[in-house]
Amino acid sequence: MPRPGRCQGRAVGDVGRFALYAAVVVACYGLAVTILGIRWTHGGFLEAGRRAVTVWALVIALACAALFTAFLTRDFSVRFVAGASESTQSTFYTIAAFWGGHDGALLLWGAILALYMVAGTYSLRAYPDLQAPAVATLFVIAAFFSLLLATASNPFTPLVPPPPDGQGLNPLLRNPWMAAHPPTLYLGFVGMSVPFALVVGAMITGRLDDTWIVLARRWVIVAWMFLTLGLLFGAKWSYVVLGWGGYWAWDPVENAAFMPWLTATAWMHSIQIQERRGMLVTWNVALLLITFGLTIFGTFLVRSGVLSSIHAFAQSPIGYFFLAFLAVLLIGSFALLVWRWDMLKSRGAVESVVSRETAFLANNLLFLAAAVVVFLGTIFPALTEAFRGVKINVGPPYFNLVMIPIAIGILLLMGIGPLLPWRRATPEQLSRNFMWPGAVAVLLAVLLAVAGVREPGALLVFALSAFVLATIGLELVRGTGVRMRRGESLPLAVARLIGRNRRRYGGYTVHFGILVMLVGIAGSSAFDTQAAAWLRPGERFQVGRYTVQFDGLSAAEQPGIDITNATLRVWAGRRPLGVYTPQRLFYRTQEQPMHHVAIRSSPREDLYLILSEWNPDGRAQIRVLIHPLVSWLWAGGLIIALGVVLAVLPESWRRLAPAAWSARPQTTPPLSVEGTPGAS
Amino acid sequence: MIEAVFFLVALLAAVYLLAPTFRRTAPPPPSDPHISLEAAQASALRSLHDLELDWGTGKLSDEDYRAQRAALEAELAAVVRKMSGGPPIS
Repeated sequence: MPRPGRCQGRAVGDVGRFALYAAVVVACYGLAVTILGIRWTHGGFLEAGRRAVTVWALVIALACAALFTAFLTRDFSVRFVAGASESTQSTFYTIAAFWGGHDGALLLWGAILALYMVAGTYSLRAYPDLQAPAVATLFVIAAFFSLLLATASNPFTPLVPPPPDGQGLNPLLRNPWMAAHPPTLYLGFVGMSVPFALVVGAMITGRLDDTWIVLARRWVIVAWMFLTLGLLFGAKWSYVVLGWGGYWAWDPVENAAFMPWLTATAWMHSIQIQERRGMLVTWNVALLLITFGLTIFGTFLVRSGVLSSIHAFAQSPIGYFFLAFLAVLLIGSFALLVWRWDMLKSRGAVESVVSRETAFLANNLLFLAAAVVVFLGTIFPALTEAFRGVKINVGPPYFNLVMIPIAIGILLLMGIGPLLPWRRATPEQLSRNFMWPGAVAVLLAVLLAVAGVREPGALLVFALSAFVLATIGLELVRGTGVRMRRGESLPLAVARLIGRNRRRYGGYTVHFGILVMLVGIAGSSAFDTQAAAWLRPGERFQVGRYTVQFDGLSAAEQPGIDITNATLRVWAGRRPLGVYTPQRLFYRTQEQPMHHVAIRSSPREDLYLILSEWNPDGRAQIRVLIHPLVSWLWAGGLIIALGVVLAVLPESWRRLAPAAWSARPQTTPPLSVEGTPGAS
Repeated sequence: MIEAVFFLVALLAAVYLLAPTFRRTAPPPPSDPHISLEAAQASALRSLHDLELDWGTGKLSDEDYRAQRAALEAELAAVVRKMSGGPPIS
């Protein structure tokens, strides 16, 4: 008698396959009718294209529902379900197994694209001439993913006969951070589709004023936030799961997500020059095209296996489809850029080397240089294999050597840029604006040096971080002062200053978050301590200010997992910190051992305890790592997210504007200047 | 049974998707130029607002402030004039 799950599962598999075939048909139909609607100026066809967006989203949702059902009913007649789950797997990881392999991950990508397509199409309803080509562009992406899902990467491929149990989710992925990492990262990757579609639409229609920038900005910022969080979740997973004590290894797949982050960051700064000075128009278009291209390139790196990575579990033969798709997208979109070259002329020019636009330009060059460095370092093994027949990895020494100076340059510009005025700055302004932040930086550097900090890189990062923090503080204090001179109380002045300059202070909050992260990275990289010792039960050893006593091993069992616990008692000086239990897990189905480290986290430092190995006589090797300030890295991510939320909140410019400007006067009215001393 | 459900759903979706193509309707009018003008107005107002704050916090000299403010006011006036002469916002 067949198991109920399997009986239901056949139907579920059929539903999933039907939905994916339907997705191909609907995406191709939507693309065709939208293109025909544009070409024939046929409103009915364009309406059919918009309806196809909804229907495509629904069939993708149906496929997702079918796959979730297959997982939750343990339907091992679906090959993907049998490969990524097993009967003893917890419900949480059975749900997370949805994106635990490339077929499901691709369906997740499709689901997120569906959400963005619906939201993007709706948000462009007031811009029909931009909406139609943007929808067509999104359908090109949707058609590609639908085709992959229905053919080479179909998560509903049947498995005949179904095995009695599945192989289970890769143990490496059984961690809450890994459950959150792919969806967050994809929200960032796929989120770049809408601004990409917008800029392509703007180039097709020739509507290349600043409208597309205004529309694309929020999409890019939100996608950037998800990309940031996705990177951090991945780093956290690496930190707590891989048992090596680090969080970033310049792995090709980490780099794949980092590259679009770098170019998107550059774009968010360079659009300010276009909005304010009418400069960098072509550059902003190209930068957005490159950013989207890098998201597809990143997927190629993850899926192709062309480079050795800790993400080897994600490899599949579909990687080269992405490379072909990337080539088509880049050739097509850059051809449009060349076609519209004459319409993308800058309206302004740099007037002085010492100005905010110059700082932003330098910032862009550094971010682009960083992206190029990461790109070259990432593909170097593939290049050497292609030309010399042997893979040569450049590894962390190359990245650290080149990226640290670039990061320090960016950090310096984070402090300088906001205090520089547009167009030009005078020496008096420079000395007035930079005297206090400079003094704070020097003072901190001296204090740290006196306190015994001798690591020059970390010292420089801490001092520059203090400089940037002081510039942000100065901005806040001076801005508050301006409002208080108008008679506002301190809390009201701060609230209104931030509330009425959300974009500016949202940006400063993001900068603050980046500072906190950089301090965490510098502290944990420069001052980490580690030691290992073989201990008998009752023996203890000293690492830094900690004393670790090994109390013995014990065995435990969970469904499908053999667990060895090491009981450790820890003191900081004479103060007992409690008992910690690092574990070694053995997943029976996969025959795979795993570390489960014990971490005591505090703002000052993380104590990281690992059970490395043990002998039958009861001795165990315990590794202890002390990572100063590592929790600042995760806190920085949270602050960045808050800053992004503040920066994308809608601002009512009518409320800010003098009444005369928000009406429609026939003559130029005088400005009643808000919050400005001495203004008439 | 399931095949029948698939067929029915596909039929309904096809009708929903194909129906508009049989209606020869005019394409939606191009984006209301006022929307772009309002965006330009908002951008100019933001720039003015930022300029005021930059001046208030001592980032630029009075001379530069006056020059930049005059340029932004002229830009804003041009936008507002275009808005006044354009079609009403629907």
